[in-house]
Amino acid sequence: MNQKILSIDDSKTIRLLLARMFRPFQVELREAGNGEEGLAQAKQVRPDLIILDYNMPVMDGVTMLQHLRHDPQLKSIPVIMLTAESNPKIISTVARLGVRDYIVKPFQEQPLIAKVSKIIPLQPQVPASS
Amino acid sequence: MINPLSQQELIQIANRSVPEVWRTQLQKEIQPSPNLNLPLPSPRIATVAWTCSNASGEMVLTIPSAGAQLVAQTLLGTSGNYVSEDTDLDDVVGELCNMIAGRVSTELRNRGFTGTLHPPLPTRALPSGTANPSTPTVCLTHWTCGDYTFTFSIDIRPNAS
Repeated sequence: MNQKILSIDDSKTIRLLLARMFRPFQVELREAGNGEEGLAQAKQVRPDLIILDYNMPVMDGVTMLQHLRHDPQLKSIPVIMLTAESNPKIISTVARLGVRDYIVKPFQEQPLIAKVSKIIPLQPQVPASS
Repeated sequence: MINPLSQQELIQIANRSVPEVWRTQLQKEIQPSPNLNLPLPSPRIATVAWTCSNASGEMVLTIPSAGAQLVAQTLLGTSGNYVSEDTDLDDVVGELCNMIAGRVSTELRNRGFTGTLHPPLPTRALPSGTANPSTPTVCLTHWTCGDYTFTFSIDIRPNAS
């Protein structure tokens, strides 16, 4: 069964980059462009993992995370932060909100995949039979 | 109040931050380029604002459209073909500027200036042949990556008291 990952980032470039990175795996990737859209997607999709940016218009990552943790249906969804922001106060805040990992951009593909695979199983795509 | 950092310090910060983003995210080495005082063709410009309690500023990445296309293809592989629209190319440049600004912000914080970054804003490209905007830039660096050149600037000012 495909693992569902929700990528929340205002940058289409980052969302596409993540889509390319997870293409070799049995992953269903959903996307949202800000925290508000991400929250709505999370309620609808119930992802196995959320990869969350901090600095976004409309609703930033910390606010989205606070909403998520107050929702009984969503509060246990694991979250990895992926952001250019490395302010210790923000890192401390999201740590208190139970973020599983914090990755600062720029980032490399393999370490991110390794961190994701510690949280959800990443199975390789099965080649289509001819 | 004096400027938070000298121009030389800002140049050193830029000289560490810009190559790191190209190396880590694009697996490309870049080289400092001489300032030929020529306008970049069809420039894409992204600005990230930075604010702290006693200073504020902007970090600006300016890269020719053709260079931004190459960056997109390097970053996204065949998915890089998506960058057919202006807004998509702006997004690529904006995200790179965001990454560099994040690295710069870390160095500023290590020097006692804990600031906040704001989402990148694209600036519409100037007409071909027009020089880059003349701003009171504190630090302007020039770079070459293969077939394209680009600039990155940091402009940090003390807040008016």
